[in-house]
Amino acid sequence: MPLLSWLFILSVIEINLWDFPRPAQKENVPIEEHWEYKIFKKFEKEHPGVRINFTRLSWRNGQEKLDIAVLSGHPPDICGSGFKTAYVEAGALEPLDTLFASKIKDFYPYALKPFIKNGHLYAIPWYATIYCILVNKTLTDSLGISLPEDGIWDFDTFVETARNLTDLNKRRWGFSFTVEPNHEEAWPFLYRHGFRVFDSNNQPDFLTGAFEHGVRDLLDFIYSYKISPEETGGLTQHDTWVMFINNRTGMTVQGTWAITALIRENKKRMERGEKPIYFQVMNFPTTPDGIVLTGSPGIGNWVIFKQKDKEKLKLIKELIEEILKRENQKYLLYMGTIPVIRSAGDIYKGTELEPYFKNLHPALENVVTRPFVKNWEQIDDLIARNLQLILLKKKDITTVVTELQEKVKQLNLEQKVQSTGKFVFLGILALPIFFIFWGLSKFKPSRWDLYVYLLLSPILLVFLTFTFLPVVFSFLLSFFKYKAFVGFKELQFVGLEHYYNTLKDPVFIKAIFNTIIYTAVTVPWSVALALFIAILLYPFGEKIRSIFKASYYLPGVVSAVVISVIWRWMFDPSYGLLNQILSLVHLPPQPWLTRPETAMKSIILTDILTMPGTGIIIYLAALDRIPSTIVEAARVDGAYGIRLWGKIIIPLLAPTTLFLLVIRTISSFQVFTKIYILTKGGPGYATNTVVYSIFRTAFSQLDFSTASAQAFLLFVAIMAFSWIQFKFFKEEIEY
Amino acid sequence: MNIKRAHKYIGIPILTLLATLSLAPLLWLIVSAVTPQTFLLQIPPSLSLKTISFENFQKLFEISTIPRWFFNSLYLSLINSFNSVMIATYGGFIFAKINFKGKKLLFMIILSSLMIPFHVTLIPSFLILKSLKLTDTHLALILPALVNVFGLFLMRQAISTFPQEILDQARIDGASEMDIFLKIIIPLAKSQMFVLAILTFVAQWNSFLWPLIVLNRSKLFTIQVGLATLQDQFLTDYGILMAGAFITSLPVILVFFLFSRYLTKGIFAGAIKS
Repeated sequence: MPLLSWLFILSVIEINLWDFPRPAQKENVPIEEHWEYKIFKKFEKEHPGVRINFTRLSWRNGQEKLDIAVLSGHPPDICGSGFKTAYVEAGALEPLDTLFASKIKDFYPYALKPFIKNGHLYAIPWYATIYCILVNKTLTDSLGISLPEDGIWDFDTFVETARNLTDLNKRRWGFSFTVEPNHEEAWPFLYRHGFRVFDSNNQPDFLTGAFEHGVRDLLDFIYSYKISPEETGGLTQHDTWVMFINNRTGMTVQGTWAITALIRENKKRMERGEKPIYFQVMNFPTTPDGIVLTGSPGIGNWVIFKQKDKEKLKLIKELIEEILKRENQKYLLYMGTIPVIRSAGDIYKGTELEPYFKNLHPALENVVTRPFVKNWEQIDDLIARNLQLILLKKKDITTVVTELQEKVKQLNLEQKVQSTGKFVFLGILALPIFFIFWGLSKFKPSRWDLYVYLLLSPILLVFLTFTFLPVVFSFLLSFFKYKAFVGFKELQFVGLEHYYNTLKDPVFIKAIFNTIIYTAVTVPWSVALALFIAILLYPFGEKIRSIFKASYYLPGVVSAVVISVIWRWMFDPSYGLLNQILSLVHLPPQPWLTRPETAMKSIILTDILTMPGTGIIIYLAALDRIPSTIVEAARVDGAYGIRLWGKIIIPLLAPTTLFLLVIRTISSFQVFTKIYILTKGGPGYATNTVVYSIFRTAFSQLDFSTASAQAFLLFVAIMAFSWIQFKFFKEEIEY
Repeated sequence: MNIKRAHKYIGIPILTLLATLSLAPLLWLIVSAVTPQTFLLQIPPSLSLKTISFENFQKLFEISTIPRWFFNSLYLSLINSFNSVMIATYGGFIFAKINFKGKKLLFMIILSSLMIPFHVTLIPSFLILKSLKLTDTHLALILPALVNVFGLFLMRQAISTFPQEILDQARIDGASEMDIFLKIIIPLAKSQMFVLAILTFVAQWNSFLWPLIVLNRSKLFTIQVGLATLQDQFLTDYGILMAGAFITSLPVILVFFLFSRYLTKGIFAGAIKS
């Protein structure tokens, strides 16, 4: 029996499959009825002995999750939309050109292009998403604006339409778009003039004037035609979408997925008896030569991570073929995406979506996709954040152009790597171990000491494994060039280079500056406020005290995720509570998180309005511990009121104050969740803090070594601040 | 007497104002959670008792496995607070009351880890767990939580105030260190342990980044990770999000209301002198 069950287990082939969210046939279908799940189930049925372990990634952090899995050498077998140039460089992906040789001719070339390097194909295209312009038809009809039926218009007609749609008295903009990082909604306006990020010689093409021309068009939308809001540089794609479905903007750029999403939204509205949004899908304004083109946020794809077992590889290939089968192509319409296989035909024909998608056919001939270059994620981030700053008039386009040309060139440079680094790494790693042994040889513990160490051993083991070892490991990495995905095979000792580079990097300097500002305002404020409230509360009886303590402490027990989600909602530019309150007292709405001047202040505001619950409780407890004899003695000496507090009690509280300052400074230096949920460090780099920068460097840019260097600089800063505070207060106490 | 009365007249209004400010976000959370999206997205939002509905919650339960996440978070937080309180008390006792060679240095090393940003250890910890084949299991959340350095520090501070004579007397009577820990320290440290348990429960319930990174399967998610996933999917539906946020914060709010008086009792032990 055990032998039999062993044979059974051996015969099961497990395929670990990850995929990003895919809209189901309709909303709220249980997972087992999702079309994608059904494809997998069918495949399992037709291939006995195969099991598909399916994991759904989320859009927000799925990429980071996949990165970590690949980094740690345990990627899934196959992943939907899992392509990344770094994975190719790391040799983590199977080349697919021979495996799928018979099928390749059936794909549109533009869909294959982003995945080809040195003649090899590293991902199988699944679908295309392209950007389009959505126009609120209810508005254009009511205003008597006519739109070209076929969705093709030139630049002037586009601007004219947007102008007619703009009505500032009704707080409605003609056209809104975003330049947030990892979103290329506005880039077709740059492509229109011939900008392609990289030219045919793989050199950045910022200097040809095309980029600048396109950016000036975007600036004109905001500042000369006044058809787009001034805070455009700080808007997210989510903001523009919310503006559109609530009639705050007449037109917006979205991916084609938005068409399906809007139709769903309309169905919901009609069920509730509300008015739907009639809309028309338009192309981007034609190029000066009259060509219709568009951009793409990326081509949906399937990648296979390196396989050892040829049989399994064949199975996975069959699975991909199953997903791409003609009968399964129709599911793409639930995603609002476009087939990239010629033989799939027009899946929208005859559906309710046809009128929306047919206008996009001319653009499909000219889809500009992301180039296959090194460090694309970093390049995209750099361009986007600079665009944000230009549109917010924080930076000048002419200086940005030369800057981008140089930096993008640097990012795309091939770097030579020595592989001797790992010996140095191991050598250095051996040093602390040597010192520990050396220390132990001097240590000469008694039997009692050994006994105590035995008692402590479980604690020490956990501490060593999950704190000490990771810190040493991380510290060492900061002196090496560690290539994510390649790992320790190609480790290069670079000494202090990462420290030098990171301290020279204006983005990191800005992050330090932001963190210091944040700390300098919030820490003294919260400690002072805690003292103030504690002093106010002190004379009251337990009943009144506990009511107030509860109301101050309560928000403090709620998670940072929840608090940030609430604040995000309160800061919402159109419907947030704060702007609603402002409009009640006839003040103009504030841009809160959408402008660099206000974003950091808004984040600080959330801290200022948060009562320091822990501080109050600690202060009150400290006050209660002050022996009443001291207070009585002071009273006898004639100390009352403010004098009693200022001269006697507050100095007595100095140790508590010290404790609170240290603890608060340390936590405030590490502010992260708030930034992560509210602004992602933007607009531009306005709210980028040190820890957020560490996180971004490590997980978005996958530069783990530089992230380690940044982390250790933070560590040193925290140590220094603690030391200064201790020193300062010691003198005070002695005095 | 006069001063005291004046203090009351000035104090209560200021304190009330600050309390209102403090609670405003949570109140708005509750209001948004029980108001359907259509009423929220109006200028000004139309809020009245008539618009109260549980539509958002109903939708939330339809589209997510929030009860499962809730259960995961609950049992993990309970296990983790129990473990870490017991271990912190145990370690706190050793560092407070037992003399041995290298104690000071060892304690300083352990304590200094409090200053290390969590992000420094993130990836190496992940790699270590991966090599132990523990990622995507709940053990990945339980093992690193065993030793809570802050708790250890807190308990050491608390236990060091216990009179040495009792311990010495017990030792003279032939009690082993284990006996002393179980029969003297634990009963004496009960209230501090309870405080630490509450603090740990709240911290564990609220922890976000680590579970986000080590957990892959949706059925293993903690509720914070679940809420973040919801935010990806329902970015525009503030009502559903707020319903999720409400459920996510409910247990810690309950814990606070039930046990808030314990918090004030022992927390000071850690606050004084380090």
